Amino acid sequence: MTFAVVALGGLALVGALTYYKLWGYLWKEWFTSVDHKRIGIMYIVLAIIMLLRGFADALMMRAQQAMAFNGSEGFLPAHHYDQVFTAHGTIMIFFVAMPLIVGIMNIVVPLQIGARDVAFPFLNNFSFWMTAGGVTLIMLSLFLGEFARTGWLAFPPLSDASNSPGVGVDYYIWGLQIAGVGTLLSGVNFLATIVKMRAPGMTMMRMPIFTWTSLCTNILIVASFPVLTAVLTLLSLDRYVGTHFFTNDLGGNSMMYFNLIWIWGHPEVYILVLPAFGVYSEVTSTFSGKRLFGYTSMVYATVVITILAYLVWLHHFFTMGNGASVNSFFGITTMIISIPTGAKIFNWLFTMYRGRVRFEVPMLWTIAFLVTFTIGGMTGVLLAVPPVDFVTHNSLFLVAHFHNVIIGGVLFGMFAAINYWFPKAFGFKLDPFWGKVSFWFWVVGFYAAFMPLYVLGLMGVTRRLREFDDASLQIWFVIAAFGAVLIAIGIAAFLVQIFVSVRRREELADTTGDPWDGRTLEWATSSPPPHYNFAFTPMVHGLDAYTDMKRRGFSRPMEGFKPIHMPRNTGAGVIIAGLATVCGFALIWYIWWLAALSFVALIATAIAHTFNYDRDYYIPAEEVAASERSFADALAARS
Amino acid sequence: MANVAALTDNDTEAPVFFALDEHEHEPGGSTMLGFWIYLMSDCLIFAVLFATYGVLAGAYAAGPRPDEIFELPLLAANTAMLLFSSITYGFAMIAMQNRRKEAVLLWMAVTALFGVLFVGIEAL
Repeated sequence: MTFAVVALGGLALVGALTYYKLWGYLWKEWFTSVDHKRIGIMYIVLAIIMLLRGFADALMMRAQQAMAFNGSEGFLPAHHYDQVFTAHGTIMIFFVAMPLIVGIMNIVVPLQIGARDVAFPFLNNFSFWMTAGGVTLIMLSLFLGEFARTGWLAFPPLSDASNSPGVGVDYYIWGLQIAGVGTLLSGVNFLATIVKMRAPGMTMMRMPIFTWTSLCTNILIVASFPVLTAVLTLLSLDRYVGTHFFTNDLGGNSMMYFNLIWIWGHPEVYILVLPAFGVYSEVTSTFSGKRLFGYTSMVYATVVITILAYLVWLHHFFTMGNGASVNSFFGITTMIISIPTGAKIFNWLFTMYRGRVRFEVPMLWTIAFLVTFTIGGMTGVLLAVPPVDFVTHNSLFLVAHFHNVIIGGVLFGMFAAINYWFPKAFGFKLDPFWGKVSFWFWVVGFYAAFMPLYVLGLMGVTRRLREFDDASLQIWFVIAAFGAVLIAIGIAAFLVQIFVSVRRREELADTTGDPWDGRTLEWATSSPPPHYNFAFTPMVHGLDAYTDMKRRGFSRPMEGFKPIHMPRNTGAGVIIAGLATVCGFALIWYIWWLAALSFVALIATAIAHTFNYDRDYYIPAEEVAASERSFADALAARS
Repeated sequence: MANVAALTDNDTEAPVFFALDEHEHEPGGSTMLGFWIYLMSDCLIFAVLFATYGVLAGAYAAGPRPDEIFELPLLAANTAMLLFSSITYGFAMIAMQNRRKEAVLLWMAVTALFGVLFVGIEAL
């Protein structure tokens, strides 16, 4: 079914693009673009497409579990159901949540720090295409062969060659390895950007909170993704050349895999949620019309979470033979994380306290987050107590917990971010009515879908089951399935919201560049910003730089423009990532000649690209002057 | 531009909000930092591999142990040759950055010497 939808949707898209002759435009203006704003938009489009795929998997699981009672086997055969839950987890984390946060960081961070682009614009484009390459392989598994049936972390010995002989786990490994290169490089890129390219005067303690959380997230990316790379390499050695790192026999030790994958996996959840915390901070402060309460404590809380993220991985397998003292240590470190997180919650509440809160769509998402995430956090602290974990581990209680924090924490934040920064990226606001429809269906749907899972988990129902014997459980699964339908309407309303907003873009237009009375530098330029972001680099004199500028009466300089040095678009990123994807495909299907050929071609293209010296150009001063003048005219026409 | 950081919120006069006479930024000014961050991430891959080695080093599954198969009496000496050649090559690079031709040649020669010694010990 998913297969048919993807095939038809893909064909329709290709047909439409060819019919309207858009390929040339897309290639020149988007695919080869090194502009951080466009790359960010491409990341988010990719994430939304993959959200539909991942959510289709979710609907299938909810339907299966609601049906498979009283001797009925439901509609999904076991080998299919196992692929569906594996694909759902893999896609939602790697190809929805990750592209969403990297996309938002791309659009926002350079603007917030007053820079003209990221430190390595070509690398940024390449990172995106490596992520897209990983997506291509995962989607290809629908058409050719199968996907892994192992669960989203592919634990051995289930994932080794003897227990998972087909191509499924290989699709998983190479999809993640290729996308992982992209993620690591964008981590390096953003670290260098934030450390080296802040506007004059923007000291560390004057950085906007979203930039701070992005900094910490990218530290986590750089310090954890290599672990994933290494552990997946060892797993592929087991599968491809018959080593025994993680096998059951001949000296292998699968607990090594559990430890290593979670040393990556736990920081990964903070990689996802920290930027969302940054979004909530920006949104709360903007829509309360106040400086963020406790900026300094917010920064320290973020840094503490970053460090603690590495000290808790073992709580993912309390039941797997660690001694009581080891479990106690990791249980306690896990509980300690709730302290800085709690401090953040109070900071947001105190920011709203005595503020003039405007209940625009991003603020609604933030308030829903405050309530939902607190519940998810409390069930998390429950699970952090080893004896409780022995009862609830691997149950639907756990499934409910992590959906509660990832949907309520990460996804709500990303919807807040999309509604908040959409006018900056496109020059018009998103339609608030459909935004509210989407919001209410999502939030109510979330509670209907996941609260029953807490109940079921406490009654002892384990996760990933395809059929059930106890008929009394069915009602809870039916409620959960109903919740999933509500979420489906929420997603549809979000797509309608985008469609309606494009239709009504004249009415919703933002000519000021500052539609929300924003506080940070991204609102100081026009919407959408010109290629070069800022004609003159802003100078920062305090926290909330743009509020400071507005308060003390700034004026935009209208003369003395200079030519601006910018990087040139290049197709090398698409080509190299394309070759990497071909190489991954060849490795999955054991087509050795193609693997060797594409790998050599990949290296050759990369070397050839280093000899391309035609990498930059100047935007002439007249062009800068003209675009700044038209922005000034638009501002004048308004006032 | 350096005095910007000294300004605070309490300044009443409208300060300069835009850098009007900005000097050109050298492209690639972050390359050194970026590459170092990338190398450190590579370091972590090795850390994982060493940890795995540490855990699995004794897991022979009743097979032969390395010291029963290999005879490497000069292993430490040979590794030292490799490491010394890396650092002398590094000295050559520093000399090159300082544009000192004789020093470059000298350190390259020393590096080559270590290389020859390494291959020589391998051949023993």
